[in-house]
Amino acid sequence: MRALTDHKSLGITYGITAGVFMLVGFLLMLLFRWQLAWPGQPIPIATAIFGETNAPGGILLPEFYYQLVAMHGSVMIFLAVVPLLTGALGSYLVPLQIGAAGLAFPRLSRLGYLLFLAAGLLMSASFALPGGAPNSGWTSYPPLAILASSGQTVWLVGVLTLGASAMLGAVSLVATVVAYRAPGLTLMRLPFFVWSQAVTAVLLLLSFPPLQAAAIFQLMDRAAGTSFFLPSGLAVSNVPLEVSGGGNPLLWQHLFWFLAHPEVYVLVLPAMGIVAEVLTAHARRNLWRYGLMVGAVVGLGAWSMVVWAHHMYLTGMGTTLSSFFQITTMTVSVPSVILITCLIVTLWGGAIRFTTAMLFALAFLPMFGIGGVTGLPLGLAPTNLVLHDTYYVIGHFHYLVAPGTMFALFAAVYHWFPKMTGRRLHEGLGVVHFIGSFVTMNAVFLPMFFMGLMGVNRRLYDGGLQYELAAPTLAWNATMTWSAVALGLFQLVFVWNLVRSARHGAPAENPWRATTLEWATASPPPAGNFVETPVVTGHPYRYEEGEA
Amino acid sequence: MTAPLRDLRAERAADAGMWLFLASLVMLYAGLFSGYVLLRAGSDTWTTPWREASLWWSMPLSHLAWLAASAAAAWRWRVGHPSGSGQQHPIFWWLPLVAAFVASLNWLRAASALAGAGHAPATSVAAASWFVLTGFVATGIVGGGVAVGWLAWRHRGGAPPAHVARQVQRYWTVLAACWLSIVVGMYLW
Repeated sequence: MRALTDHKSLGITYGITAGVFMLVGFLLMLLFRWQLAWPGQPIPIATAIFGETNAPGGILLPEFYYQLVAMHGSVMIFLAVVPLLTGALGSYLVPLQIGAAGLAFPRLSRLGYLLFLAAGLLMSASFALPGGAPNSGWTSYPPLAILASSGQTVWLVGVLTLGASAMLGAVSLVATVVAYRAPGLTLMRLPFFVWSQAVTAVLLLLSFPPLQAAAIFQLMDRAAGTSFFLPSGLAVSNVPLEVSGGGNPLLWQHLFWFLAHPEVYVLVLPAMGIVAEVLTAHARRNLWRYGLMVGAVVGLGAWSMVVWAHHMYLTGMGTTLSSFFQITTMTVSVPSVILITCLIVTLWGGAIRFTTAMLFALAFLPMFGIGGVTGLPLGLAPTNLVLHDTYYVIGHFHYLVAPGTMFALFAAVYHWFPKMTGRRLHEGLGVVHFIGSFVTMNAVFLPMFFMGLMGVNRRLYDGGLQYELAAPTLAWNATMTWSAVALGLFQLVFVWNLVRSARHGAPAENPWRATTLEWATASPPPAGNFVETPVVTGHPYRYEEGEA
Repeated sequence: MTAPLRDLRAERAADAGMWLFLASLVMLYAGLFSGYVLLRAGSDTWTTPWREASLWWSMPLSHLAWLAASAAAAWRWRVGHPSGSGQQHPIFWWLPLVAAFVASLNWLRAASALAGAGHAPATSVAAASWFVLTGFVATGIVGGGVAVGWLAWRHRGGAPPAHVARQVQRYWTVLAACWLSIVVGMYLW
């Protein structure tokens, strides 16, 4: 336990824990994708694992299907991707990149990890409760969520705990950047990754509390019989609910999306930071317009907090409010485009080395681009009315998070693995991993755009079997599911590469000849990180001064 | 030469950490209060039973006293020790805590009067809002009280360092300011 006060041990522990949760989330996805591909067909050994109440005869019941979907979203976002980006990479790399010996508040950071672990175990254990895990989606919209089984209560407690965990980690990280930078390391000399992590931490600090407030309200509705989200006259199966009523379900949506939209940027900004570090090192070019990029990432973080209601056009918010959020949503794409443009121009004239890290970082650009561009129609109310609740939304979101952020995470692992272990990952296996992931991820998510454009709803238990409009797309579901299976198999190559290279990989101190501070110390770094406190005299990126 | 530098960095980190934590706390209260505002504004049948109880004005008044005590402690520290070094009189530690305790007692009195008059949380959204919003301050007070008690025990026999006192005063001041905003909003609107 004491080892977790060391930021390197903490980062690696975060990484392993979040990786396990990601595996859980992936397996949940495979289960419900089976149901989508082959509706009503029994899954071998499903009854033995999930019991007769969830999968009689191996066939997933609708109630269980929705538990799988809700938990897939919750696990992937709250327990896997965000902790990987912030808890793992942020904790490990930020102190190294600013020349610090550790985090400002190591015990607070450790407490943050323990709360994250507790929340994850609690939410996962909800499958064992009577009624099972939460089944109201990761968005947990009331009044459905208030009427749901006891798993929803556990989900709410988990969200409250995760909020506290995120707050502790974010406070420690930003305080580290504020107070423990190496001499000479001014704000405009910080590596871009540090900027992206700091903005992300501030976003978490400011946007998570309103969701916690909403979770408190919903917990009160479920446990104390209040009606914050329950309107008057509500009846279930024609039986009036015995509650006071007078509440408003839309209140939840406002408070939820006030977190959940910035949460998208919590997923994207660190990914941008990773890709910037990898591109600049592997193309031997300094970041193009570093100052502009810093301004863009700060602006993107700030602006992301005033766009939340574009998720709510269908609620009839009126043209004035709708116009406001359409304008803010369109303009939030400007800093995103600035960032992508700067990253692309950075490559111009570079001595590009197509390492595995670079391949993943390069692939991030078009994947994120697809995710971003397909978001524009969703940001405009007229097109949103048509596309909302279709598979188009699922495709859009996953392009940002799966081929987008996940590719950045893979790039980070290939780039910084030598820093963490002193050994390189095998490049041949890495290329196989990259090609396999690139092809299969696109095969899983690209058809979703076409399904959505054809009007297929995203919440159908049978994949659209009962709707004529979905008939042409039914065969795609099987292809997407097989692609998801193949995607999982290619990750086995990655895991094998990690395990093998940790012991037998080629020794490497600074294989990319990168110039940021984390590479100025030994690989792996010793206790205290630096033998002598480094003194910074210039820009973090010095790839055009002859070192290359 | 190394030790003072290290201390200054730790103090700067503590400053930053406390401000970030307080920003998060403000957002939590803002989330709770915005829920109240949305529900209140969207209701045609809203009632404010807490304004009908006897001595209802003592709630905002006691919170005003709490805010004043916190602000006085913070101001005293600034005036007395602008350089950031040195100590201050222990009364400026305990004054906000005592004021918060009095405010909490007042809340308990108001809550029991409200529930006794048939306005339990489940009876209406208005009553539920009052209990959740005003009751939630208990978490902040208990947390702050535990922190102050722990610091007093840790530094028993001597005053805690000035920068620690500064963090504590900031905490009480911001908590009191948030809380006063909520109470005033609920009692005057």
